Amino acid sequence: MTLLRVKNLKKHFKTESGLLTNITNRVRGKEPEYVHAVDGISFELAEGETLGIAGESGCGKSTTGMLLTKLYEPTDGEIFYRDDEFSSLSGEKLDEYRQNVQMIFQDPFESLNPSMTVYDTLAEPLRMFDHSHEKDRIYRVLNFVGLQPAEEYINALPGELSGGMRQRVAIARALILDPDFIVADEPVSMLDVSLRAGVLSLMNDMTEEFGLSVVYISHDISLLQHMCDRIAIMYMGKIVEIGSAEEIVANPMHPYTQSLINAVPVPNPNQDRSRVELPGEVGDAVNVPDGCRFKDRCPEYIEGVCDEEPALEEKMAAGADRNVSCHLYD
Amino acid sequence: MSSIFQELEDDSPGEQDVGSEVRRSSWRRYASMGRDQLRVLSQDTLFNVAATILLFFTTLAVVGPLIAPHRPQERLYQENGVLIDQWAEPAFMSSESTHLLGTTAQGYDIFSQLIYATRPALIVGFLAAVLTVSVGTSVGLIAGYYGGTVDQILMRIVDFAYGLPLLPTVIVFVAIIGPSFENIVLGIVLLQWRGSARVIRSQVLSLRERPFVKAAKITGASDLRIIVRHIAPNVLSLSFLYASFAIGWAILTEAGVSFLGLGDPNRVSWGTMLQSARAYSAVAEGAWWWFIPPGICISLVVLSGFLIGRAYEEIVQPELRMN
Amino acid sequence: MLQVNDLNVNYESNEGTVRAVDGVTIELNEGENLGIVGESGCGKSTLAKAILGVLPSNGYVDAGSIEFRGTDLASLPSSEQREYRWEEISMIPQSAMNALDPVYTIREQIIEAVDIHRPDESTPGEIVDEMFRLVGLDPNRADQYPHQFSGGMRQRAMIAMSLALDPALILADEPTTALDVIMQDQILKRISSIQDDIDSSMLIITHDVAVVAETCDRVAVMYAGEIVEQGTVDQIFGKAYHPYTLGLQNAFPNVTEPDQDLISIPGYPPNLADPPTGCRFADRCPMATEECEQESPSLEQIDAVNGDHLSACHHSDRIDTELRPKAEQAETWSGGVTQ
Repeated sequence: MTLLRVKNLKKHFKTESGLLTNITNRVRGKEPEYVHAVDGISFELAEGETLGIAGESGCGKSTTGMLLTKLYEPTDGEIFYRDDEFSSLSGEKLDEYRQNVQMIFQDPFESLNPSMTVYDTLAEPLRMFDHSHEKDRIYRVLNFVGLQPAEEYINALPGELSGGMRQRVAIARALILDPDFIVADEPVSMLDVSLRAGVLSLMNDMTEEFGLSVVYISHDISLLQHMCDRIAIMYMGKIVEIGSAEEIVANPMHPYTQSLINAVPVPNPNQDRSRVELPGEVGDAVNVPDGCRFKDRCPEYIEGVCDEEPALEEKMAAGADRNVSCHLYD
Repeated sequence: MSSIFQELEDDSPGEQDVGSEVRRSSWRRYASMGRDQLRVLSQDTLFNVAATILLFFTTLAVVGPLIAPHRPQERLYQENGVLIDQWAEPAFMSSESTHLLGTTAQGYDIFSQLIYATRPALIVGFLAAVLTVSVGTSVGLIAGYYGGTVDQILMRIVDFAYGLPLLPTVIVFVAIIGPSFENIVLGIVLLQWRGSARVIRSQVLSLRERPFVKAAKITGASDLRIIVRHIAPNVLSLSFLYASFAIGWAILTEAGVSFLGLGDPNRVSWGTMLQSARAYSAVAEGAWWWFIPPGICISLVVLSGFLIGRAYEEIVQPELRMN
Repeated sequence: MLQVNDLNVNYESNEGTVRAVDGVTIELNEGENLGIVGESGCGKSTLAKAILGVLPSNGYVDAGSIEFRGTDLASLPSSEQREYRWEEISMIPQSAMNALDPVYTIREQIIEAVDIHRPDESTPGEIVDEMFRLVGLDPNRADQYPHQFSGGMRQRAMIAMSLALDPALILADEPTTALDVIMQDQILKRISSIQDDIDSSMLIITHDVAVVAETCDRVAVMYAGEIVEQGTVDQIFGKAYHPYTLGLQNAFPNVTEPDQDLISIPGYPPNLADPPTGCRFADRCPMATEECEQESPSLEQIDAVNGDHLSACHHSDRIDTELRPKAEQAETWSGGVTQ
């Protein structure tokens, strides 16, 4: 069953400028400029599925996560949670949504309120919605995330916990309201390497035991391949490729995906990667080029054709789960 | 999809299990935090000296009236009962005097006055500090959290408040509204909140971007809840810092206002003592025991306040600590 | 070129003396790249700062020597140490994008570095241009300010700065950790190509095992202030002999091996203010015995054949048979403290 459906979602941020510049611009009739952080993406998330969103900094993946958790309101487009469209959610339905969506953040040191104990941090969401059995729930969830015995941790302040422990508390907080789906924004990138696997396997347990859906945002494709059912690759606010995780990594179709995968260093000294040299840098998100956004850097650029924006469509044999946005496959 | 809390769902709802036996309440936690801070502070000699001084004066304020030999505005007579015992010298200077610090031109016992004056000084100090910081923190929280127009308006008010000098404004205020300690406190608070407002605001600006605030928003916490539960506790230490400095400023301001003649005419404070001494030309008369003691008291209390604030600052902002 | 002998570096902290680097011996030969791998708190950054002489005020070299081309840097007074800095040994710091002063142009900052060491240099501007070209930046942009460069470009600018005086040794502290994967790839490639041109040696400090595999000739694995294993890249990645190295390799997903299990090492590193007697990895090691908890193993050759492959473990002889075949299975590592 489809949990989330995103249609042509956009989020544009007005570029900041001082009061004086704003006034002079208005006088001159100059249009305000926008950063096109997310510029028309569409995808679906099924129940129990883990979807990875990959891409480099500035591609819009974090912004997408915030749109899904309603931290930002979309500039355009629709998000459907089960059958309700986001903007129509209010009152009870909004409360329900808020309890069903949670987020795990990148920085374990900033994810917890430094002046609240572990108990209070976990109790806070429960109190907001008047849930019963507060203590039982907290103990249950602490045990699940591996912070046992719970008594040892409930009075601790974040400053007394290590990074790995804090991230587990953050996960516990995400679980305490028994959500449908969780957005995880780089949950392990700031943890020591030898701790990551533990937190990742916890997240795996989470999905398996409770059937949670997860949107996993990361720039680390090797991690996403490991954790996700499907992966979407984002570039400059658009999804350029989306499909099953295994397939995308084994057979990347979009040139950007190919360079992304080729760029990942492999912990094997004898393995030579075929490296693709991508010229230039990620384009200007304010003055977005016409047509395909990758055309200035693409090794497969076709004159004329690529000046038109390619659609994200199914480009493989019917039945295969892959959409690519590239004229190579027209 | 199975629920994490399967069995719990089946039980009867509405039973709020607080589980207070195992977890410590917030008050006890704040208390232990306070104890820890006190332990670090007490390693600083200056802090210990300042704290002792303040403790001494606080005790004096409480028990003073019980041990003072006379009432502050009790006209005292010489042995013959007819002549006012004015300009008496302190006991350590003249063997006939029974007054520890002599008497004023009107025959009041200076030592008693000194003791009685402790109370208004400290009350003004603490009251003004608490009110100042409450207003300043509230404004800082609102301006920092909401941003936008609210922030702009509030900060322009702060700018305006900064434009006014403290002592002259309080003087004018008290002159118009009427001289009393309450009005002096009011006048001080009216301006002093500006400092803490600015600093708390910038603290809030950075706090509101932190992931734990975002997490609360995602769960649907209202703005008020976020401000009270998440942001305010993290700026409290800064508020305390400003409060300790505010005590010193308040006492100084009150002394200044009283010295200039706008103090409460019905109560004795160190400032009014100084004013009195000046009015009766105590300097010319050489009666240094009249104006030096109140001056020393003011200096000691204000200095202690500042020293405590400075010591606390090193806890709140560890980068100031000198290795 | 660089011989670190039995180096001890301590920090004075509120909790006492922290022994951040404890008896470290490594060597780096001319023209080769050495990677130091370890996680946060293992002492690798401290080691780099000690070599460069830029320890913070509460850090000091307690014992041992740092011999650079015959001279012991640790025993030099700081004024003389400064002469070596940047001219012979330079550094690409962690999070280099934040290491640039925001109020000066990049050109001004590189020229400042040149001026300090070579005040007679007649054409410092040309050095800037040459370095920029070397790292793939447009020399015309050298007159811009750091905030006008993207993160990856600032990193490259820092590399340019570190090369400006043609140093013999470059210390790179997590050179690509803060970068996106494509930028990281470009930087790594730059680093390799630069070395062909410039002939400096590199000491690369990182937690990313994959980066080391691709750029280094030899590797030293650090844990809790000590070197636990050392050898050529082929030796370490082919057949590691220390349990920690094996555990570390398990933690890195390999894009070419999708079915690999990701396993973490239970527990956490020891408190270096109060280090344990015996092997510092003992409480997390699946092979630990009582001997391990009592006696600290020394760094020794694996066997006479591979003379340069060293490991600090009491049970090196059993690794081949007992641990390595099972190292990739999660059960081997389970049990232990929550991290």
